Amino acid sequence: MTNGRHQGGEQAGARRHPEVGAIKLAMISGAALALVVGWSALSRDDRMSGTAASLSPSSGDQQSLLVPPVMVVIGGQGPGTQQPAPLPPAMIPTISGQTSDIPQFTPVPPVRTRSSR
Amino acid sequence: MREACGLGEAQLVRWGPALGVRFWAMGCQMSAWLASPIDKEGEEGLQAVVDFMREVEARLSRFLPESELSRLNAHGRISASPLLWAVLRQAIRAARATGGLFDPTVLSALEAAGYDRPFALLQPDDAAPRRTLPICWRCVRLHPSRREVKLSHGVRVDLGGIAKGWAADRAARFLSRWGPCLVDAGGDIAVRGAPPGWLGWPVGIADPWREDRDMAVLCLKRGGVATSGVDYRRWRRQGRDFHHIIHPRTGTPAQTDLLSVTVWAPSTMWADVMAKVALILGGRRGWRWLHARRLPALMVWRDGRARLTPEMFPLLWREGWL
Repeated sequence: MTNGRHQGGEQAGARRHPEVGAIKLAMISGAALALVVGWSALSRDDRMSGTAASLSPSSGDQQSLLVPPVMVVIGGQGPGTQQPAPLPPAMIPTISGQTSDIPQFTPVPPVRTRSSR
Repeated sequence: MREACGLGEAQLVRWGPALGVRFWAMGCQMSAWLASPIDKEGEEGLQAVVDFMREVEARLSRFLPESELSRLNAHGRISASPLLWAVLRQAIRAARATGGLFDPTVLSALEAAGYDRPFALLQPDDAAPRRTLPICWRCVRLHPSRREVKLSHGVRVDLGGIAKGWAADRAARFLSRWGPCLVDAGGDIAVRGAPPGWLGWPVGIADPWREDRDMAVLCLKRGGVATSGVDYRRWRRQGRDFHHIIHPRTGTPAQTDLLSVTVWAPSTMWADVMAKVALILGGRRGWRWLHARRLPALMVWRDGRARLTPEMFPLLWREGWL
């Protein structure tokens, strides 16, 4: 009897105060949103710290590229260079901690390797 | 015409801690560098490198009818000079080591595809590609006791790429008696020692899409780096694209999805060979080839992608290495 009265009292209270339900709903939605945002930020950080490759052209115009490990995208002059197809996972070698400290400064080299001309 | 005759004045230039000489030989812009301090003898050493490169061209150019290589190709046999002998021996060794994927006997196929004169003189040509003659490195017979070379009927040799790498290695070894040095044989680069106060020589890897830009800068203190590519020496015949990298199994320009491959190896000659083989094999198989040998390399695809092997990362220039 006591429980029944108590539950009945809560229901009656909720009916009396509909804003309580709205606040609870808002809290649950907020927590879910925070989880989603946090997760996506964490994933992005992971990508940036571990696998981003940045090559250092001598001219100083740096390219910072967020692409799969040991794959970089160059130029844009070639046909179809905008969206390189991702490599199959089996072809991507595992490397760690080797790409994050590629420098922002390099001297202009006296020589360049290229196909002979 | 520079490609044909190799003439032109050598020019002394200074770069940071080094004195260098720039010159034309073997159809390419070349340079040799010695790190400071440089005395009179060092300068003479640089000049000796210029002379050496021109001697290599004079003996091994397929475009000079009086060269030793041209005489070998014309007559099918020759008593070889030490220089021709050394390069041919290395070429046969490379062919054996790569299972024939590198083959010095591609000259007929190269000419059949249209590359029958110095590249600067190539003209748009409507003539049909000619039938190719045999490509067979086993048909080059070397007789060490007499230093005699014999070619089977129809077999002809081109030493263009491998001779540059070999010559860069030899020139760097020669120059190193005066200190840390670097020799650039038209993009095949040999390095011995680092300039004082530096961890290595900065060596750019040219962006095949943009002539004026480097894709990366390496820091090298030994070995050699070479790039093989189809981005420059290419031409059209009957509406079809041709290039100078011949697949020895087909006798025609390699059908490859790669634009260029840059490889570092303990010697420039091997870097050149490995880069060429990877280019011929194409992206997937070329990657496996280089990866299996743990070679530092950069591969550039025709669609704009580029990949570094894990071994290449430690060679990239890093801030604070000065």
